[in-house]
Amino acid sequence: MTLPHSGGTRRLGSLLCALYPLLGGCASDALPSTAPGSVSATVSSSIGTVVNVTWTTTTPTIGYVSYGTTPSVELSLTIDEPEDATTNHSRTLLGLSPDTTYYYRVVTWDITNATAGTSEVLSFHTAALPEGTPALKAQSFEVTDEDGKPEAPLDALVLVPFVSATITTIGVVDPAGKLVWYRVEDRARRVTRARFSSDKTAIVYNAISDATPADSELVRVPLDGAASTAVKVPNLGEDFAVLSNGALAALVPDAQTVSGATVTGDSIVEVDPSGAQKKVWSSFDCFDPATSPGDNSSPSWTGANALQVTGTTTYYVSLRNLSTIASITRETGACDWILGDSAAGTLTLASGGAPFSHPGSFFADTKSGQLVVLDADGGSNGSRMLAYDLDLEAKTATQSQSYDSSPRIDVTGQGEATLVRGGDTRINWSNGSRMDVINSQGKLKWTLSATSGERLGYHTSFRDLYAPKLEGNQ
Amino acid sequence: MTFTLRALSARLVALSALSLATTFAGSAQADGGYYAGVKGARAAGRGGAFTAKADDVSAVGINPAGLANIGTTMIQVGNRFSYNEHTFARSPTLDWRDTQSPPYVTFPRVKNGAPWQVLDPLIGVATNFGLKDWGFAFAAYSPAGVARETYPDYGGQRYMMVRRNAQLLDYSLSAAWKFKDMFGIGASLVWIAVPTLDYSLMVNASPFSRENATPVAGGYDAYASVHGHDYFTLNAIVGGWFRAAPFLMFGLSGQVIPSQIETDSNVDVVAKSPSVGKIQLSRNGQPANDVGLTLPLPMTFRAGARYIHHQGDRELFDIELDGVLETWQRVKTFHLDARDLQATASGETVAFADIDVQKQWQNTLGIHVGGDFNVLPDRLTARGGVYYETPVANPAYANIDFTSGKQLGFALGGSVHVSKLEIAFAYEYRVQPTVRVSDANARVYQAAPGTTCVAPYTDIAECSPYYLGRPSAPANGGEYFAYSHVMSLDGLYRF
Repeated sequence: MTLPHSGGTRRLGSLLCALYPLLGGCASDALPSTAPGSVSATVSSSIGTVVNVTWTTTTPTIGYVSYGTTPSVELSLTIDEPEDATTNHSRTLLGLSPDTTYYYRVVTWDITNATAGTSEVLSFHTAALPEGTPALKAQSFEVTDEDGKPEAPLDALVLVPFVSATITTIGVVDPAGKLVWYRVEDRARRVTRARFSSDKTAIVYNAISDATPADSELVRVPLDGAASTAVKVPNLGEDFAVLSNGALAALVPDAQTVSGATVTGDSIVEVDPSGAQKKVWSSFDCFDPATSPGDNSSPSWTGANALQVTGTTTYYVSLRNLSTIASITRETGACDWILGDSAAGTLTLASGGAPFSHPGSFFADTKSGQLVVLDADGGSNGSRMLAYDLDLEAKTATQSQSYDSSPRIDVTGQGEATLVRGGDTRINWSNGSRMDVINSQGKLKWTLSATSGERLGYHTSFRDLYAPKLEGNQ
Repeated sequence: MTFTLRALSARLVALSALSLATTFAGSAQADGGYYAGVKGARAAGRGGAFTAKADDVSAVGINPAGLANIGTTMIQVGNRFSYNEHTFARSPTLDWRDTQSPPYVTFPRVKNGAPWQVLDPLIGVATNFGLKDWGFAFAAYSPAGVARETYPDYGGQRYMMVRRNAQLLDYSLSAAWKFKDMFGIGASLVWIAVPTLDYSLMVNASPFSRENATPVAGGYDAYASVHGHDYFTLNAIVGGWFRAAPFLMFGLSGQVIPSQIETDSNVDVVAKSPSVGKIQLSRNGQPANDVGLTLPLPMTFRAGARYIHHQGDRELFDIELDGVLETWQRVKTFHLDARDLQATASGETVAFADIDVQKQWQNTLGIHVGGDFNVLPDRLTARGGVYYETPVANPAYANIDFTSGKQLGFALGGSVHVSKLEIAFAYEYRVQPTVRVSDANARVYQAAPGTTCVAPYTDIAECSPYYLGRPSAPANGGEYFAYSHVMSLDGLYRF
């Protein structure tokens, strides 16, 4: 690299240098080239908003990529850890807008030589969204907190399946309503939930085969667009969870003989990477079909439809047909608390509180005593979100907040309410093709509509696609 | 021996005038620093090839033996005017204040903000006191060099240096004797006074481990400035010449006493961030800021061979080849002895460690070729010369405070004689070609007196993981370029 310095004096110096060839002229130490070489960007063939940037360096370096929609490349990945120094580099850009020109450059650091390098600013163009992906519209609203101060705008992303009659798009939507990551499931499968893998490098979704339940599977799609993998989970239910140890837990039917008759309930099974299943809980463990008959027997007596896990210790399960949510100790399978069912319930709804009916998904936190749930059928104005404060010592649940859909939506499947950062609540109206975020005052901050009419499956709210920080039901 | 009362009176008047002049020079001149070029317009006009010729007052610093050839009384008054450009473009680096995505930072080229040097005098008188084979001289002069350099507080060079002001003044008392015209010897006793030696740079005053390497800027950046003086350093120069033939003579001289400037100084440290607050310096619980700054001086050896071409009884021209060896390898560091000072800021007290500005200089060899041509005998003389000096420092230790690369130069000059007055003038162009230093090779580091990262600098609990094996961030990687335009003008009056 040669840095310019100006003036005729330099030319005079050069002339003088030329007079001294026998004395070594004016040659001086050249700065070594530290610029990254062979820099290139490749748009993923499977996900048009994923781009892989590769480069090489002559010495082991760490580095990162800066990128953006202008040559000033205002966004940056994080630099590699010092122990990851190498000469062949590859980094993946995520969360890009479709059909958009991006600029990027590579920055490197050679620890051994304490030397920085950078590439020129280059560009690439992301692919357009494939046909059949949803049309989305997001709106943000300025709201104030309880002290009247403006709240920060929503910065969370959401992972959610968009289910149409023919295909399902498992997508990541940014606050502006852009689909910035997607996976199209075009097989005849029903997708109701998508989550992050425990290492946060992949998306996992359920692909339920209603025609051949034994072919149902959990599909793992790496965020960087690499080939997906799947593990079969026969009779896979509407929800599954990802344990922090990497295991997957799924809802599957559990048929048992009760008084000489076969009764189908639900169970939680843990699935290892090979597909081997281990039952850790059955609805028969905490509920008796005789005393808690439920109001529907399809697809099961209890109608388990949503699942949550906290670390590796506690499961929470929603039992739609019993209008009940239960907390389960993973180790023992015992129910810690049950809210809803009159026979088996351990928590009492405080007076004046509204019960939920036919719950969708929810977010429960025993530690903080919080529960939010999508109440599909309890409200007179259609489905609603209900929030409760749980007091496990007093064994009470006190309703603290309620939020009706408006205009009216009657959620017929899935639907979800989760607490997210800042005391906000994200409400997924499922077949209403809408998702809202409200603040703790019940004010609407953000709304997303699938204007092309897709149903929304269960969602995962998070921030930062590169290092997802999950919120709510994880 | 010719000795008259009138002549003695005239010489005493001359010496009195010289004393007044040097008093002025000592208090007002601003020259010095480490050397560049030679003093005296006649010597400068020959590209410094003056060791064998050495026939004016400037011989006191070049070869005092030459004073024996003056053969009369000479008052020499002169000055150098110079423009000294010195530029530096620091290598790009990453700003590790952001450890997630450290920005790639480039630095604009900085240059010396005080390039003009207008007062750089030589004042002296030489006489033989009527003694045919003797010569004596008293002179005051600032050694040839660039006294002052200033750079932006926030320039890319700031962890090397922000400002330097080195005022040096040499007072020389010399005597010489010759044997016929065969050979001569001489010596100068030199009193080196340093009325001002200021040096300032930005330091990283962070008391926290792993914050010892913030190459672009840091929250604990502090401006450390040292102000000091050293009024008395002694040195001596001895020399000789030998005339092998009427047309050939040799000169030899040396500055032979190893010495160094040791200043009594005060240091001030001012944090650049208001949030750090005032940095208090103390010793044993009492406010104190006295420190010592040591700059070793080189010994210098000169050898010259001079060919003289005569036309009849007169010299038509001469040409001289000089070699100059300077023992700069004595300069390993500029050492700031903090004398166990402590620094307190933001409630944290840390030891204020000694600061060593790494130099690791090496001996230099200069080759000077020059001569005079008598265009009009006793009326007009033209002269010229060229020179080359090897680098004083390996590029790894290049610094903005002094030029350290190879030096090239040429000079043109002349003298006009009007009766007893000779007006000598010289123009010199001196250039340091571009010196490039990669951060990989750079060995001048950001000073971090509060660091807990110690050799071998591999403890990741105490040292920055991005500079393992280094005490701190390299501060001197980049490109250096320097040049000077120097005009010398002397008046020599012989009587």
